[in-house]
Amino acid sequence: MKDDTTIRERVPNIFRKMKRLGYYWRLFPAVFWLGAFLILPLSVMFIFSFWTMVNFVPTPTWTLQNYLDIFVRAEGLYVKLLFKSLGMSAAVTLGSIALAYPAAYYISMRGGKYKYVLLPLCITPFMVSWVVLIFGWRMVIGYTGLVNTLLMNVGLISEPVRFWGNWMAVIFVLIVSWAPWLVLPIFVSLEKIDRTLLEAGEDLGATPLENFRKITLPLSMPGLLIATFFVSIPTFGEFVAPALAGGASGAMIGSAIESAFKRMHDWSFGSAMSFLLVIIALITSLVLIRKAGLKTLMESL
Amino acid sequence: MKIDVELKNVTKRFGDVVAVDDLSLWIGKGEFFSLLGPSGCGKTTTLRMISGFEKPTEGEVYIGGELMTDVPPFKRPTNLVFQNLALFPHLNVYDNISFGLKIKKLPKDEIQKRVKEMLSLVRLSGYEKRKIKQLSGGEQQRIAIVRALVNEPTVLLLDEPLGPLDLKLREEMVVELKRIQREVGTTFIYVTHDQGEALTMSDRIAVMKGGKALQIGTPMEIYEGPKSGFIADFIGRSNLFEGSYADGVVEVDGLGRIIVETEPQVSRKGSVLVCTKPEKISIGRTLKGLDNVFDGGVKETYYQGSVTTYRVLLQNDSLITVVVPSSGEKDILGSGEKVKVGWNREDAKLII
Repeated sequence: MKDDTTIRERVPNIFRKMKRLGYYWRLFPAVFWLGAFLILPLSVMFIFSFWTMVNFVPTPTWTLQNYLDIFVRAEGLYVKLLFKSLGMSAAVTLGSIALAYPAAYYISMRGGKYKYVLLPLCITPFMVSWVVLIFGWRMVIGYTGLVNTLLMNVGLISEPVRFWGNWMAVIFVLIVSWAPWLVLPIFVSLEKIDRTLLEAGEDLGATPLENFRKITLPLSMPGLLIATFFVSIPTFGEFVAPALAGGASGAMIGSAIESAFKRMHDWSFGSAMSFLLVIIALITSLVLIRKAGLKTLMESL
Repeated sequence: MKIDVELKNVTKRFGDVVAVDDLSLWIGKGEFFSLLGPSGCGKTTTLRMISGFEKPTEGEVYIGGELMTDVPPFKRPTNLVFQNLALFPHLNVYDNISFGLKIKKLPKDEIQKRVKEMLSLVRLSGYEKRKIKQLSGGEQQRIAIVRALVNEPTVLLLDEPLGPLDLKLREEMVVELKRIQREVGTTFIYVTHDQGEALTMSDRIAVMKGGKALQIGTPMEIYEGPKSGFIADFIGRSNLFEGSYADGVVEVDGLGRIIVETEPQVSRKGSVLVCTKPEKISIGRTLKGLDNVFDGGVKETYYQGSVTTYRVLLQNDSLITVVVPSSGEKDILGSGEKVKVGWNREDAKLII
């Protein structure tokens, strides 16, 4: 009799397990997508980063030398590039938020019926290719560009100033191209703020400035975290802007990775640097997600 | 009585719409004053002009004897409890309540002391660290009230703060609000469309319609002596009869004569309204000793526990409502029964 009951209990269990497997199959498209487009190339890169280059060909002789090389090769040039990239990424993030926040604030708080006319206007810069945009700026602030010509004609300077071709130019073009993007997430988080909260603040004696500092800014934090997420990670690995606007002082870790693959043909070293970049991006993401909560981040998107 | 708030000929227009129309009223120190009316009557706009969120198109607002018409909200000695409460979601209970005090840069121990007092006033001691989301509706309500009260305003303004609560909680909060007001002694201006709340809590009520105050008085004055058919109907139910008045008697077409209390100031003859409250009417198979008695037939009977409500059809085809304390089963009158309804002359109020 006892055996009977156990068997009876077991049968539905098996069914339940099969059913649960069925549920897992629903994840298949997502897993396939990630696998094909992200995990696969990253895995190849991960493996290559532990191989040795022999006559410009990655060979399965396992080593940690590639990772060590990042810190020792060329008298620490690569570590310096790494830290410089972190700093530039932070500067670009701060700069583009500083540009985007007032715009988003204006559209959300003062836009009135023009809100949804002004908002799409922010996105129009993306109708122009990124490369075209950079060269456009070069014509404005380049060595023989508009600004220099004007300043010389006015007589403020006797010879052109080097605005272009250095790390500041890289930061500048990255800020002006990211800023319009950031208006969107910041706008969304500002729109979500219940306006009676601002009235409540005012009623409790807060001046408009105090209201902003104590209510609007903290409540728009999810938007700012999204903005940080958007900008800091791609900027950290940026290589187009350094190549086109940076010159010698504007090189970033992305430039080093590009040259490791393209010029030095050192795929293993390039892979090691790339993988380090991925890990840093991952850590940044995790910190941001912990800080904001995944749900708020996704909602703001 | 010292006057805390005074509105002088205040008008507010939004474009072509007149929200408040030449309104004048005063509110005494320590009074619980209600602005009562249906939605769109201008009561909230009036409140927002006192708090400073709206500027009158015409007229003047005085608070504590000072002209406040052009003073922004953050400089006014008023605090508002918002309809949706507007508690700061990113701050905990302590930071919400202390918001105004921190802006005034009070010393920290003073702030802590006052927040503690306020929390014990609303019986939520120990709630300092709670998040707003963790509070129940009634708790949020009380935090919103003390967040305003802690600033010791000359006037506390309440914009239908009990709206979102369920009935039982509302009834509790009505008692709670009145107790808080008695304890702190601050002037309260309370906006509501609920006549029950207004009658229970207020010292005086202004009944508003179309941007005007139709009648201002104590709950009893307004309930017992409404000055218009609208007020009679809005404040509790009323039975209204239209007729022509002469010498203490109103002649109602198809019904007969209603004897009313003669007031010396009533000299006008002609069309008037007679208002009789449902609970002042007696009903029975036989009735004796009343000034006005009429025949009728019970149309509907609603047994409601403590009271029973009858709808009675009179001879002039008008339906009146009668509310009597519930009696035993054998005394309940069924629909279709022939009955007599009656009331004394002092319960028949004239509305001219």
